[in-house]
Amino acid sequence: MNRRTQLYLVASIAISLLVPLAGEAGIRRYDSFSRRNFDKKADLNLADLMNPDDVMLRKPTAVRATADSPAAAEKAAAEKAAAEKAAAEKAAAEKAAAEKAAAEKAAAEKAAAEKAAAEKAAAEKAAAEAAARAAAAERVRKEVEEKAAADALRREAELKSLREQVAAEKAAREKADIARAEAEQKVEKAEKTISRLKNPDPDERPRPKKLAAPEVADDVVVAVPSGEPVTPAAAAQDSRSHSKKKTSGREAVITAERTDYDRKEGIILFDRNVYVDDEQYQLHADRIFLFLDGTNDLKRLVALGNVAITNEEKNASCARAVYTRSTSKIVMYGADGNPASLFQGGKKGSTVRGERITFWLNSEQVEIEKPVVTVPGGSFGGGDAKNIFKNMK
Amino acid sequence: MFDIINPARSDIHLMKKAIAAISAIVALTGLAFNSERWLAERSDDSDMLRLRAAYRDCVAKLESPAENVVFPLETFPDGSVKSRLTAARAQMFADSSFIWGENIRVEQFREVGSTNVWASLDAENCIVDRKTKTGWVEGVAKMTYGESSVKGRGIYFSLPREYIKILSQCEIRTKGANFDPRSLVQ
Repeated sequence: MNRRTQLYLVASIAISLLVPLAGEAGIRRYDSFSRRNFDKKADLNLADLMNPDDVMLRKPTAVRATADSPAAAEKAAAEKAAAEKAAAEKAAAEKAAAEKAAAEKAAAEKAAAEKAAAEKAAAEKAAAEAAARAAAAERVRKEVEEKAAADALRREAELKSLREQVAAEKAAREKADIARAEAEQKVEKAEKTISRLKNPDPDERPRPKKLAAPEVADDVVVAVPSGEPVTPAAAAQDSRSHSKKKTSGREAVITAERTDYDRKEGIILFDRNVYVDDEQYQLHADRIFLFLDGTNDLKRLVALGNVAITNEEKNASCARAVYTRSTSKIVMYGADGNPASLFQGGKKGSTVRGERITFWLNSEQVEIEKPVVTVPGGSFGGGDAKNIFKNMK
Repeated sequence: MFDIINPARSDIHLMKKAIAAISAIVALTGLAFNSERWLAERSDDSDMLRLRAAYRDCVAKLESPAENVVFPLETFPDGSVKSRLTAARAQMFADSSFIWGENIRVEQFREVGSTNVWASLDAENCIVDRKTKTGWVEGVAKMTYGESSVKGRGIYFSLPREYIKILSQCEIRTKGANFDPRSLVQ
């Protein structure tokens, strides 16, 4: 055997020994690299990526099996242990990966369940809120409807009250108008009588009574100079009989546009279109002041402007009238060109006019300043003329 | 100079006359009643106008007023109610001194423990200023006292001045009044 042949033989032996070792080392290195880089991908198996035909990966089992040296046996055992270790490690890695995946899956499922529960709770809360809003809206609507109904009832009641008031006022005004018309009729009648008496045509004069005494004068006008008051009592004479008339005791009604009551000063004011409707008289004035004493009893009454007092038998008019309770005295004042006047109706109407007419209610006396007394014709003949001055002061 | 210690008889006579004249002038000046002056003194309606404006404001600001309000105003010595106030609705305003009420009724009872009402006051809508103790009745008010009654629309009242003003539709019904004006024509 030459030297070249020996070298070839040694080289071939060395190659046959080194190639399996290099292949095993290459597999381990490749396996370790692959695990580092791809192990995170749990689904990838390194073995699947290997080409079984790769020369570098081919295990020299046949060579080791055939080797019968102790070193080879140890080496094979080591290789086997390494392979087992690698397999164990792989299994452990796979198990850990599976556990991790399972844990992640469980966490994901738990999160999903929690999310679903939260969503359900939110939906329920929203539904409850919507129901509460609807209930509140319904309640508000009902309240509004009830309020509207109550307002309508109240307005209706107000309208009814107003209608009643208007009707009552209308009735009162009508009554006042009737009373005023009656008074005007009486005045007109009296004026007609006076004018008839003044008429020179004897045919139109009232005829004297057959049994009457001879007439002194047909028309008597007594005029007394100013500053010399006289007290004719003719009006008072007749009034005694009329004032005894029975009454039903109905209430008196006072109406006015405005009223002021000052309790400190004890004054009541009735202002604008004042009308007193009593069973036995009607009084009208533009303004009436009542002065009260400490016990709220009447002390004095002052009627101002267009004062008119009427009852069935008489009517009086003046610009101002003052009643004083303590003296039981009424003073009626005339204005410029409009004297105070008292007209007594009845069969023989008579009129008393003067700047000032004063009544003393207790004594039924009358005092007139600057008087003009008009009595119907035939009065003196009937004896009435004596009564005119009967109570003269 | 006038001798006060030992005046002459004529001087005393003159002095008496002078005193009498001065007294008469003073008395007449003090007692004379001038209706126009009296009215002019009461023509200041500023407080009434203030209350009317406040009434409108209060009505605009009403928020859930109390209903069926009842509280006593006066009591008898034994503690039973002498007069009481009821209101269908009422509200007290915290930002002002006003109290608003609707369908108010004030009743005065005759006897201890009795329900016999002898005087009453009914008002539709009312506002009271607690500070000035003045008030305004919007609408109709009616006061009944024994057999007499007073009714009107639009009423202003002031407790310190003891003054009441009825602005329109005033009506007074009375029976057995002390004053008897029928005597004017008797």
